[in-house]
Amino acid sequence: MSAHTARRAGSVLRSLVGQELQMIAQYRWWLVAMQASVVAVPLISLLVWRGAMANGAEPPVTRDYLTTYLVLVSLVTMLTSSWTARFLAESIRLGHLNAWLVRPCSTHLAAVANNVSEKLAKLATLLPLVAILAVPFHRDIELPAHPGRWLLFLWALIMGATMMFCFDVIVGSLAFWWDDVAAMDRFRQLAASFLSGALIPLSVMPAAWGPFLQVQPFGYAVAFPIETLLAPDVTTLGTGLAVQAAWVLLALVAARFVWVRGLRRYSGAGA
Amino acid sequence: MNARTARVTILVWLNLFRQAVMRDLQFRSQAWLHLFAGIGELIVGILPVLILTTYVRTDSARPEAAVLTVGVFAITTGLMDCFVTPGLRRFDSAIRKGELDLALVRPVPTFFYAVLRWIQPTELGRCVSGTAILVVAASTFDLGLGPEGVLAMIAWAFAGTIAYCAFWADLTLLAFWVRSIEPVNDLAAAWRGAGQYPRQFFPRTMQIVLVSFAPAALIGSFPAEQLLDPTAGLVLAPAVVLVSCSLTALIWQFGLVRYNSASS
Repeated sequence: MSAHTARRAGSVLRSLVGQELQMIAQYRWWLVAMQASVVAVPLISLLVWRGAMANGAEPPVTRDYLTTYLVLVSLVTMLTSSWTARFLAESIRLGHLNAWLVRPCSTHLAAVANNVSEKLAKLATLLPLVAILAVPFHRDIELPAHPGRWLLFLWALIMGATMMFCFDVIVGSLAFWWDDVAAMDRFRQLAASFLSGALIPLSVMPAAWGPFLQVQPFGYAVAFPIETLLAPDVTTLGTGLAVQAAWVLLALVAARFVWVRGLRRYSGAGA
Repeated sequence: MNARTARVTILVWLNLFRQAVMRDLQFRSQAWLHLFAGIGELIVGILPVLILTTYVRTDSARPEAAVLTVGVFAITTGLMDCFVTPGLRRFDSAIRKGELDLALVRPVPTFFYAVLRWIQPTELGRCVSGTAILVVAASTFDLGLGPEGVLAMIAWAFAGTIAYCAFWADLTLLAFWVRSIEPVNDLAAAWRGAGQYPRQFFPRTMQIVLVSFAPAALIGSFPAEQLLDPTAGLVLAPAVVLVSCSLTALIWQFGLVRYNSASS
């Protein structure tokens, strides 16, 4: 990609993000209701795990770890999530993709703009909700003060979000071959919700699952970014960072491969 | 509602159900995938509960109660997702696009046609899985369940399902007042998850909320408790149904007055 192309793509992306933000601002209640639903699952987990610990449960993590994890998890899940698959599949099925194929920029720019702008708007709504959630448990929340940890957290978040976006593009691109990818997308979301650590921390899952949980990709979208803040020693994160980078690279290559192969099959319905 | 309207309503519903089954038979591969995804969702819901239960070693948290809760929860949510929630998820869009007009002019109750006409038969797969869980749990833990417990469980699961559907509908009906409130469906679905955990793990205030205002416990843990120890009076179950349905009917009436038909 030349410097000119990159500049043009950047300019288009900025315009699209601005447009998306204006549109989202029209649907304020949509945002509030959506973020309330995002906070509900960790809130239930938080109450039930703390209640179980008060009833004598002995999980392999401390109460402080569990509380901090479950307060942060909704924020991290939202920031690394992606929802483009069904829209991409629809645009392939109905031929709306044509409009983007003839433009001098990436076909996925609109999806990226939608992802970024919606996350900015959601962040503004979700942060106060997470703060309200954190207030009753503030004594049990332990966050690092070192800025290096927060930079590492930011890096892990960006990598996790990139990986999930690529997975989403792969699932959406299956519409080049199949009429309906809704069930496949449902399976992906199901696997992601459980294996990412969005429901419960991966560290409380049975020890026998450990080797599998360490190599599967979804954990590097939610559990690992939180781990960059909660791990007692930063030197233990090296392997995780390397595995996460490998998954991101693999996801990028796979998304590109599936997209290019799919485009060859695309017959442009509606053109 | 007079006898003729009731008869027409039942006939329409039967035709709608037949139509839904025919649709799933037409799109067989998708129907199978949705069936497996529904069972997968059940498994993903069960695992956190079972993992939590393995760490609790006190008498107050009996593992059989946790497994029975999951079984009851699977049956009630399977019924909800087959018959009620697909329509509730479409309600916001129906209001915004004026599709409610089509329901208003039909010779059947509008709420019925607007909400209960979308049916997803594949979700009933979860009811089968839930029943299997209950049967296996009863024999594994040698529970020796009596007819009184089974009756109490069925009555409360039925009442709880209606009460939670009514609560979900109350949230969805906000669409009459607030534009684009569709994600309240995700909120109701997320909150529903609280019903699959044993009730005693929650703080006292939360336990009260879960059996009253937002009755998630009534579709899982509470009926399961009745199966083991039928203590709550069955006479309360119709009262729960009556109160929750009356509130929904009231909100529906107020909302319908505000509806100004986006399409006309």
